[in-house]
Amino acid sequence: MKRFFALVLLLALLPAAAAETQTVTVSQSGDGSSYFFEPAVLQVAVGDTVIFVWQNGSHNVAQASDVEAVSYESGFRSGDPQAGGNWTLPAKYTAADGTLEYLCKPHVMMGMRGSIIVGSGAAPIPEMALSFGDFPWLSYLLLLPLLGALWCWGFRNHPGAPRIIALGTTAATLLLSIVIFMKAGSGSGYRLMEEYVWSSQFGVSLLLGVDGLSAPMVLLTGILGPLTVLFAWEERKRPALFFGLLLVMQTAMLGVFVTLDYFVFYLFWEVVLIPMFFLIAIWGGPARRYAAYKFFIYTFTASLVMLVGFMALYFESGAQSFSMIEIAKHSGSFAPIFQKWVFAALFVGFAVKMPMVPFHTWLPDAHVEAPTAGSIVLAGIMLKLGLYGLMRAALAPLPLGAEYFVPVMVALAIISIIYGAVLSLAQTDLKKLVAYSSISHMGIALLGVATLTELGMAGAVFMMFAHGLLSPAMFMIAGMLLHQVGTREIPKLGGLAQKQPYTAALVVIIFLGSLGLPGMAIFVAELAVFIAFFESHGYWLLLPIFGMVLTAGYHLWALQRSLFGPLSEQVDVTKVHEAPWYEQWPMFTIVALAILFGVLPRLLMAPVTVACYDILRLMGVA
Amino acid sequence: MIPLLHYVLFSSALLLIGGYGVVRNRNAIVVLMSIEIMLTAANVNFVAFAEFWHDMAGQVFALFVIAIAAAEVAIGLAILLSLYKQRDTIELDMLDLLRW
Amino acid sequence: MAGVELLFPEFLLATTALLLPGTYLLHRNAQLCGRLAVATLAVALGATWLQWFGSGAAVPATYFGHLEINLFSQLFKFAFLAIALGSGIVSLAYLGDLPHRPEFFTLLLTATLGMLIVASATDLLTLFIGIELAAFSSYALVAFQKHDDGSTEAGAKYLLIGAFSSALTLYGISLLYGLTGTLEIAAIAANDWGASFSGVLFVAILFIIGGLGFKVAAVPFHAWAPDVYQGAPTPVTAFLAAGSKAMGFVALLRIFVTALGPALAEWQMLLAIIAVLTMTVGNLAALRQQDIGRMLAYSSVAQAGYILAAFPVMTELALGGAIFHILVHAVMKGGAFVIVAAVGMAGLGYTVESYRGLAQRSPLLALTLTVCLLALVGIPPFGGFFSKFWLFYGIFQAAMAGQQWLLWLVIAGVLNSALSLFYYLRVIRNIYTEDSQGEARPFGGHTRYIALAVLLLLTLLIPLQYDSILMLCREAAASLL
Repeated sequence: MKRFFALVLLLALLPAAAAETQTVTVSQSGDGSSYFFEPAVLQVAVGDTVIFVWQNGSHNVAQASDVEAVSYESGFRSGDPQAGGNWTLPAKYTAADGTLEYLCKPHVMMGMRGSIIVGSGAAPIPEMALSFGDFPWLSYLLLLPLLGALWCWGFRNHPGAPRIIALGTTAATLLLSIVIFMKAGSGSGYRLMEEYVWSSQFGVSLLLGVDGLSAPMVLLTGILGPLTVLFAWEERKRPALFFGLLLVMQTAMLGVFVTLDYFVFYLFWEVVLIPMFFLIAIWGGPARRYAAYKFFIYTFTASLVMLVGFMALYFESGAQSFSMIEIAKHSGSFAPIFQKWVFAALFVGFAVKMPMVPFHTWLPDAHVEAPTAGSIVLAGIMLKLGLYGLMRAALAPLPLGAEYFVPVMVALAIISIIYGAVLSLAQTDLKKLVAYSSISHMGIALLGVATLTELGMAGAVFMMFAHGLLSPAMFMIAGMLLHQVGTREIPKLGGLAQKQPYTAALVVIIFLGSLGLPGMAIFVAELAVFIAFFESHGYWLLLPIFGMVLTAGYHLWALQRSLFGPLSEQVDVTKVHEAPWYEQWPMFTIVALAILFGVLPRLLMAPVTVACYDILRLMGVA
Repeated sequence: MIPLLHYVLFSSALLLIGGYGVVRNRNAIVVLMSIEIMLTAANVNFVAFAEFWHDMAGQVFALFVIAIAAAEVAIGLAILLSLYKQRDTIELDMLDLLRW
Repeated sequence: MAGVELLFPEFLLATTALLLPGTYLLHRNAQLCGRLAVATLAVALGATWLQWFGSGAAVPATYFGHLEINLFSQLFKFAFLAIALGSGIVSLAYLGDLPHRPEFFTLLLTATLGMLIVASATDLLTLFIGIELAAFSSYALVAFQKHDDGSTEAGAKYLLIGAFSSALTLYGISLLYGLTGTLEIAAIAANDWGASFSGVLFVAILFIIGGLGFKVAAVPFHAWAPDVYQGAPTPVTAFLAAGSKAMGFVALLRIFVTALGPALAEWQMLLAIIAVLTMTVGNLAALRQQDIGRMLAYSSVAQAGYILAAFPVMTELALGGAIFHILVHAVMKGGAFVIVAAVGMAGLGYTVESYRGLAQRSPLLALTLTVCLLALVGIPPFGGFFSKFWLFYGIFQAAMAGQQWLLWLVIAGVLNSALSLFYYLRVIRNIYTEDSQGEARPFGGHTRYIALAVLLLLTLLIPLQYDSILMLCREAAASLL
């Protein structure tokens, strides 16, 4: 732990040491005949800090799209005209090569404008590359699980058939998702795009496409599909409905990940709820009805708020289209106050799904009551929808809103990290422990997004992927214990490793991976986020680090209590044995993947970084 | 020539009487009768306004309303009769099987 | 007269309604009469469909200034006939071997005829007669099971409140006539109201809202709806909830949007308040209900609130969304009541508890009811979401275009949608998570086909084709403005 801490600080401090500080004077001549920034053209190196100093007169500093622009657009802004004092251009704006144009809103007509050339000064205003595919990969990706669900329903009177169909379908979906991940590559812009016009009078279309942000999520959904089915292999209660719902849910989640249209995005977003509601309500634990109810009402209410935000975006942009690409192009015309309100609305919708404290209370209930397969999907993919939505749907069109809410997001993220970790320490039910640790991990991911830097956001996506692999594994462990011992209460367990040495080895690796062992995927994500956070917020980093210490604590405590020590006498351990193949293989696969991405993070980091850079470029901050 | 205002006042009085009857009475038949008075109030209006505007449509409307009122009484009495057969009462307070 | 063939459905219904009792006297076969009525409705429905798509040139046509067949009326004629056909088919099985079935179907035909007249009426006299024809027939339909206490009581209540409200409407119409000197809707619309607030006009508007608000069960004129929906024979409830309600909205659209559109300032705020009250009171009251008929009745009240919210907006888009929602609401609510009828017929009862384990008894009925309820909440991807979305979209657009206070209607709608989830979920939970108890008779075959049709409509046809349906509704709304 100590070494890890030192490593973080070392890495974080390295780039900060080289940066310089530059000053721009904001002023007017004594007789008011000329208004100027001094120097009007400033050449800085990447990572430098720029400070604006006000001398006389009321001025502001706001980013403009080009040298001819007379109104400020998305990007940095010092706030309302001020006289005196100084203001620091956030360091992140000088994070990469580019030319930043800015102006003074009250005096732009008198020629009060300037520019900062960062590094070599490449052109900053992006045009997203759109490439339409030659083959409708994404449509097939969406259709395949749906057809599988119908097929399952057709075999509802054969107890053994649905699981085989489901396994076949999810395996095929996995292959497709791997193909799509490879084809998406690591270039900038959207790939494999397809467009099917749905409503021409309102500009709704089924606009599909993947980029470096969605491709990993598609891959994750694909990977978890067969694993979920395998883990639910012995489901006896209404298997056709069970596997059918799992497949419908897979389509819905893939739909959220690949769609680029606000209307369709909302559609898939809500469709996810329905199968999940039934999975919890029918196959859940004793309090399943309450949990399902709470889950549905919380997330539905929040997403209605989000929907209003989408509608506001649509009308304000005047684009006559729900396409995210089109609406993001109009971000410059959104007033700051509008951006704040709409971002708040969208953030509520996404924060409930993530979930962030204080919107999290549905999650522990839902997790505890859900069947294992439901928990896997819930923790593995559904929690990622929130953060994915934030990055995909909220950041690009609402840069000022996002910037305004950075402190809120950071605060919520840190509270979630520490709160989740503290509550995990207090849990005795393994599933609840994992549920709260999920809140903590998603807090780290939100922290990464809130830095609004390439590294932080890439770390966040990496965290989504890594947590999407490891938290299902944790739930698999909980499910396995429940099968074999009949309880998930950690204090009642003990010494299980004596009975199941191989499975115990897997369990140990999964726990260590989840607490952030170097060499496994979560470590990479945490490191990236913490470095980015240290660069933007300095020693506030100690708070999330404290959360990490707690995380290590409860993971090791739970591991030690349940697997090692003397054999428990509180529960019947006679039936404890090695996990069956359909439980062992999913866990093994996950461990292998977590190590693969932990050792070779580039596989994922390359496309993710490019996608995050694209988003930042759209926001006008990179 | 009676001024238009008098007709309107008259019809308003009829309407109020009818409305009062509907609200106050607990006997279904009386309520039905009060509703007939309200229809009559509208009829007075129609005839008076038809004369005022020199337009026959209002008078035609009044004729139709008379027919409609007759039909209403017919169907109303039939329903109230079947109610009476079951309950031996047509007091509205007794209609409590379904909560109001 | 040109285009008289467009009135074929009306003539057909009137003729059959007159012939049915005679047929019964000759053949003494009640089942035959029922089938004849259903066949008549089916033929009329088919004829409307053909006229709509087959002979676009003949539409619109007017008849002596009293009736006008245009896109708006064809749209609603089609809807009314479809609703009547659905509840007719369910009634065939539901009524079993009760006496007086021929009269029942005669009344069903006359009620439908009344609605058809309302759909194409262009003056207030015709409109009023259509409303009354439909209303009188439905009083008798509600009270039809005359040996059932609930049915008779519901009939008596429906009659007394209905007659009272139509007296109010009539008085309102007479005042409107006194103000304008004409009964023709187009002529009233041409009237110049001036900019100042007119007290008499406001009183007339109050009376008309009082009367028609009763038809659509808007707060505070909604108290009858739960009682009547609970007490009436369930196919009749479906007919009222889907058809009679839509007819009330047609009349409201004609009178407020077309005739009194220029006097918008007089009633805009009034209707906005009524809309918000209606949705809120309806949803709050529905939360506590144990009887499924009452619960659906209050949900009907709430839905009326959503639709009324489009009236103060008065844009083609919002009204188009409202018309869309009226039609989809007929499908959702009608479908739900058809399944309630089937469950009741199977001897399971009419409370929320009686839906325990429905999924095991009949997966299709369970699925259809679930879809209907989720659609009523407005959850995608079911039909109800699309109509509700575009309805509020229209309001939102008007709000962004300048009338910012309209945003409150959107906010109220959103909050209410979330609220309504509570009581619908209760039923859905019972359907799927509880085990069934007790024995039940098998569900009727007719019901299954209607359930399947509703299911396909809500999950496939409306979602996939909403663009063209909405386009039709917008054109219909444009013809009103």
